[in-house]
Amino acid sequence: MRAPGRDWVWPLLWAASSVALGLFAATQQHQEQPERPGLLVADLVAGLAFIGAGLIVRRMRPGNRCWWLLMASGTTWFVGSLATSTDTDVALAGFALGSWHFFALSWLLLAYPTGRLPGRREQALLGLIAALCAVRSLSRLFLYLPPDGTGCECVSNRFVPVTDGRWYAAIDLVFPWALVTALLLVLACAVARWRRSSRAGRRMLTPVVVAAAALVAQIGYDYVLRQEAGLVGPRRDALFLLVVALRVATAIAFVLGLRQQRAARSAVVDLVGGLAGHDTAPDRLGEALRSALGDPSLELVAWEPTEHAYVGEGGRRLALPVSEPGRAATLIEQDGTPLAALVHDEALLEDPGLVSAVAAAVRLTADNERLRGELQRQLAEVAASRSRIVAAGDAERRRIERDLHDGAQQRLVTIALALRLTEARMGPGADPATREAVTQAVKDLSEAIGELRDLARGIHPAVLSEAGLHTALGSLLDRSPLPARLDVRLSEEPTAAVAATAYFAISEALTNVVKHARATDVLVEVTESGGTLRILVVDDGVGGVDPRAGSGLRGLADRIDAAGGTLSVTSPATGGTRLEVSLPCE
Amino acid sequence: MRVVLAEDNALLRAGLAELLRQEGIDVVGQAADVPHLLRVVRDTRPDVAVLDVRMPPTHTVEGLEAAKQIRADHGDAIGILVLSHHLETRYALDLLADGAHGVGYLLKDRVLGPGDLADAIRRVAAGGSAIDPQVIEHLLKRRRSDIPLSTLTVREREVLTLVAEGRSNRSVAAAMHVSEKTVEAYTGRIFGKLGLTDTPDSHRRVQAVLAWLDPAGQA
Repeated sequence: MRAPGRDWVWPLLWAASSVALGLFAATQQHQEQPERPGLLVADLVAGLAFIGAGLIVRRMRPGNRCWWLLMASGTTWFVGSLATSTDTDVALAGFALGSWHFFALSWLLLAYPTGRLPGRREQALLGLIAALCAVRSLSRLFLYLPPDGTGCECVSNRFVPVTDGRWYAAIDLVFPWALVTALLLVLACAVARWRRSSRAGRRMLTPVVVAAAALVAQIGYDYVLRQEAGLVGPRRDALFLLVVALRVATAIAFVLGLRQQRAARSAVVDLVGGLAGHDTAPDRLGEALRSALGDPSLELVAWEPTEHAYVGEGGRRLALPVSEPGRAATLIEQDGTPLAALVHDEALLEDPGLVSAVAAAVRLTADNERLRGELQRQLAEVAASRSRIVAAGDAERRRIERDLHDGAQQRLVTIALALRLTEARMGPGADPATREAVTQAVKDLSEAIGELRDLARGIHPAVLSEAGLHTALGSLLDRSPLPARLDVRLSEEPTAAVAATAYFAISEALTNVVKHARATDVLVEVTESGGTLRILVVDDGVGGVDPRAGSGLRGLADRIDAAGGTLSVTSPATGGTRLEVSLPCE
Repeated sequence: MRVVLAEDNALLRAGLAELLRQEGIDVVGQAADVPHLLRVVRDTRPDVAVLDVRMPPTHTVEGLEAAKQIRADHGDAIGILVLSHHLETRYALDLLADGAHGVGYLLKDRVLGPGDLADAIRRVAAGGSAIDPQVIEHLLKRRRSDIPLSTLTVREREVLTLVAEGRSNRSVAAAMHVSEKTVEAYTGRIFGKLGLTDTPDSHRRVQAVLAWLDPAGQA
């Protein structure tokens, strides 16, 4: 509940002055007709009902223009009340301008629920009513000759000294019929709209149409009978009370109708909330839209860029706009590109805001869907490129290891062998210093070869690509100073990438055990089931391993992540560490 | 002593052949790949085939497969000595899996040590075994927390390593510069501590020691 802000200054001033006008009219009448205070109150209530309804609608639907038409209806109602004033000038104003109340009411009826006139027909009709009211106002201002039994007994024309009363009499005789005819046309418009409305549209229009029909019937009754039979006394008072009651009912009906519309919009809000919270399969989205808009015939059709057409449920192609009478299509576009379309009951357009809100909801959903799809695609790409990077790294290491083996290592052995042969050929008479130097060189080379071998092995264990994971793990455990048990159960050799990841995972795990665990027993288990390679490394050491501490385990976690696998380390401070890895085998 | 040599690197092969000739070993055939090796072995029937683990076409474990093939074709009649740039205990144990008769596994740079290669070839030719000391070292290291092993003295461990390599008592004695009698005393004590039965048959001794060192791996 917001406090009224600056945008409320004018509406409130307007309302206040209208009420003041009403009160002023009431006091004027009170002096004239003190015997009927009930009617005065009723007169006030009818005007206040419109003013109040206008303010309520403005508060409820700030963007809806109906509020000022309601206010105008109230104000013009009070203007009409001035006709019975004791002051002749005031009375003339009321007498001449009172009919504009019907103009305001008609506009309200035609423009409901948006406050904008929907079409040329309505504009023409409203123009006609405006012309009628203008003619009557002018005739009453300038042609009226008091006192005249047919008009108001209490005013006199001060503007024009017209002496022939027949003009006025003729106009005043025709006007009621013309106005009633125009109001019946307004009623016909309302009924026509009601007839083509969908269920939701009717829900919104019904109270207005009913109130309007009653109003128009009453206007006709009131005018025609009064003009013809000159009803007076209690029956006229009763009729007036009925007029008031129907005015109040009309004002209330507008408020209720617009509230209904707000309910429909809040269903859209719920729809958006629902769409945001759940995955939105197109069929479920269609169902949600149907229930939110109350149109069971609604269909959500998707734009197929490849076919360059809208395709409905069941792959049916749709030509838009729809040619079927009573149906309409609302296109949903994103930056000028068609996304989808809603094919629905034409009546939903009674509230274009509603449909555009739903269209926006669908657009948001589609956008969300697209972004989510894009995100997933990007994530998949990142995952793929990450595993490619790891694979490329592995391949590179293999290549370096092979190059070292086939190149430097072989050459060093060959050279050392040549030196060794030279040494042997030197014979007994050779210079002992030279012989010593050659012997030393062979020894140094031998050490260099050993170091190079360890280096190459650290880069990539040749045995892994030569003889597979099982053998490589056997060798790895042989090199480990731990009394480790190895249990490998594989139906077939995993891919090079999986094998390398598994090898490095176990290698890293064993390194950690050797460094920190002070274990006396280690079990390494490698099994495969359902396309997943599972690795288990369990030791009976001191435990308390923090997977986040130390770059070794973190690097391992990264590598396993890149392979799309999972790593879990259970290491209670009470002792023992259990490292589990699962790797998808592709 | 007749030997066939298989090594895809021509320079190294020539060097090895020269080395063996200097050691008084007759190189009766040379090969650069497995099919050629198998043909030469069949044709020349050498005492020992010396071959590289990595050979064309895939440069992985062709040598090991060739070794198995030769063993399958000719049985114990032809000794096999595999040379490797890499120290892979599994390869060594794999070779020995069918028994330690006339097989050896040496690091390639062992050829640089004076007499090491010739010594290994002779042992293999005699139906014994020649296992690289580093392989034994790894196996021993793995079981360093083992109680019987920890009771061995440094000297006893040295003897155990040499025995596990496939050396005879005389060879061990020569390597350690002690008498054969001393070696016998050592082996007796070592086997007692490990709970093994000593035997003068060197390849059975090797098998017993290896089985003890790698109880699971031989399966």
